[in-house]
Amino acid sequence: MTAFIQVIVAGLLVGTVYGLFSSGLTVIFGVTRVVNFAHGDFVTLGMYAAVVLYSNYRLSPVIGIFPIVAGSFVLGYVLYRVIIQRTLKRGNVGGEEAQYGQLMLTLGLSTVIANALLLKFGPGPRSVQGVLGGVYNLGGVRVNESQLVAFVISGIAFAGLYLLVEKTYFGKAVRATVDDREMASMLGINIERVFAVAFGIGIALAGAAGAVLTTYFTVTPTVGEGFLVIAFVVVVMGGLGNIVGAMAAGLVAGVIQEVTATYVSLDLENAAIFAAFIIVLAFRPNGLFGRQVMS
Amino acid sequence: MRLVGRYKWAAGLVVLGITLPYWLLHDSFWLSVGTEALVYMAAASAWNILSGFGGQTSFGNSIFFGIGAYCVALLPVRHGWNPWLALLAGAVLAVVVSVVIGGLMFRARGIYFALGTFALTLILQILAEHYQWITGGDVGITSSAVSGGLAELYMSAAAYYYAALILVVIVVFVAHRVLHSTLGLSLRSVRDDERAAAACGVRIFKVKVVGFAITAGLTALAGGLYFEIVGFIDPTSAFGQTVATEIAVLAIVGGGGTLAGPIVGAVILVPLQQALGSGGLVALPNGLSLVIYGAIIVGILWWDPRGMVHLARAGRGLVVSRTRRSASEEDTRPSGASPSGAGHSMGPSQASPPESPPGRAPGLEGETAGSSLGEGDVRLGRENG
Repeated sequence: MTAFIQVIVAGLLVGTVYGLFSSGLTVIFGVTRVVNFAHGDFVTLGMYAAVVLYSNYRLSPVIGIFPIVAGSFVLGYVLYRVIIQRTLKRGNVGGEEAQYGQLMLTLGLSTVIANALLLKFGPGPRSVQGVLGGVYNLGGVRVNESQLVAFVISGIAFAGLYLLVEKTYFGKAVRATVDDREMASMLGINIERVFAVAFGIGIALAGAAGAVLTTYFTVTPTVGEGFLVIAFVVVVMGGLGNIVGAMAAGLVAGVIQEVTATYVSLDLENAAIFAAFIIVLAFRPNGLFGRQVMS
Repeated sequence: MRLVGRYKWAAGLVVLGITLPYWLLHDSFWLSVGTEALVYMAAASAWNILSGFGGQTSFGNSIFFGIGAYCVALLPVRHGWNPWLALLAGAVLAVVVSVVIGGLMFRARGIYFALGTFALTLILQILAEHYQWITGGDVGITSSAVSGGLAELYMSAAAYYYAALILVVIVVFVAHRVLHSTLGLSLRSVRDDERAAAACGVRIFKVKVVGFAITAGLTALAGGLYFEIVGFIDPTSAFGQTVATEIAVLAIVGGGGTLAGPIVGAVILVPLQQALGSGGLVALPNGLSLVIYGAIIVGILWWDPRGMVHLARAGRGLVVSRTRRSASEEDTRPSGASPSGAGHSMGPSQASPPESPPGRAPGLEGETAGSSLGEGDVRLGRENG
């Protein structure tokens, strides 16, 4: 029984981080309708940033997460303004017709980021070693300090996102834009700014997840691929655009992964998540938690 | 006149394809690049039937690509099949699988379908890695290990090129026939407005499944040929992320939904990628080649998210007047005010009328349907939501 609880706890701990970067993807989709294929690579970018901050400035990822979040936000904001905004509204090209073009554009962006990282850091694995190395024993269940810290930080970041969307004036503008763009625009909301900020927030969440992941996960230029697929699965299971759903589905995905890895086979852990995803798509096409979007 | 003009183009392209090895693809590197471009051209054109004409974007066509490749790799060894028969068996198996997947996945629309097919192909990749006794796992299968069966199939590099060219001609011909049939019209009506199409009597589910089956069979042929040409297959090069997205990238960056799009995409992007890559013309540091390749794709889509065909068209539009264009185009996209951008919010008024005569649909119907709509794109946010 303790062994089973151990597996569940491990799943929940890693699931929180999945939930964190997935909620970033879902914010971006919910607000701008852009499916961001580069999302996983922004997690990778956050991981490399944490590695560099640690190895060059001895900055623990727990502190380093602040500049990383800020930098990711700015990066996302600028990328949106410079590259993506143009494809959303261009002459007589309708949004839906352009949607898959946009998607391919973010896929191209993903190729650029992953290979730029390869160019800069090489293919070898990098990690932050020697911080948060403790192991706690809570009633027979072992918990790594690094994973616990990642769990707590992810929880705080997610709570921050939730409060931002639900309780602030900006969040109100975001929800209004999601509900009805035209009406929001007529009421004086600068929807382009809302889009750009939402994109920045989404990327910032990816960066934050990357920063906390580095304490127990080695990074290579291509790890983002795996995160991207998990994020897609989690986001769709939670309902595209539903941030609470994304976090809940992130936990579910983490648990499924750990249970499969322990009781079935380690190399099938992701196949189990994808299978769960297919089942959800086939029987509940709008996600486990229905259609509600950001509310 | 119009028909003659159109087939002149097709004949010209085929002649160009046949003669290309003699005046451009002299050395073996470029000949193999040309062959690879043709195989991907076939796969991208097949993708176009369901995903371009029908709007059901799939990121999982590597499922069929991989099935085709593994059939040709495995059946001749284990069961002593003739490789060409194995190629056909791969196509049949792919059709069967596509019907099953379609039955499961066509409840999901738009981006959900795209991501679902993407997850499916990754599941197949993981399973292929896991069940090594079938697939050889990560080690993969090389055709030298496949003794006997493929030895008789050994062909010269030029013969592979022409085999790929024949496949492209078949696939593009099928795509052309589909486009100008009732099925093509139904597919396009489903793309433009599913609900309106249903209201007009289009049997949506059936149309999607049939479109998917055609796409799957043709993609499996491309995959089988790929194995015969390259002589190696492993789970990543069969079902992996790169193959899955590459097929869609070529078609979408070229111009999804147009006959010319996948052709243009493969002709330009595959050689570009190969030229930049290792063994290509320039020796670039590890990673830089794909940075450049990715940046070029971003640049093209930044300029026009609909793809290169529309870029070219925009340039030509400066010279040729709009009316003449719409009469001579093979384009299936409405070239006017983009009615499909309006999505579901605009209601049934903008569906392509399924009862209009099949032969003359492309280019014409969009023009008239689009003009009455105006700014459809603002309300897009509600789609999928």
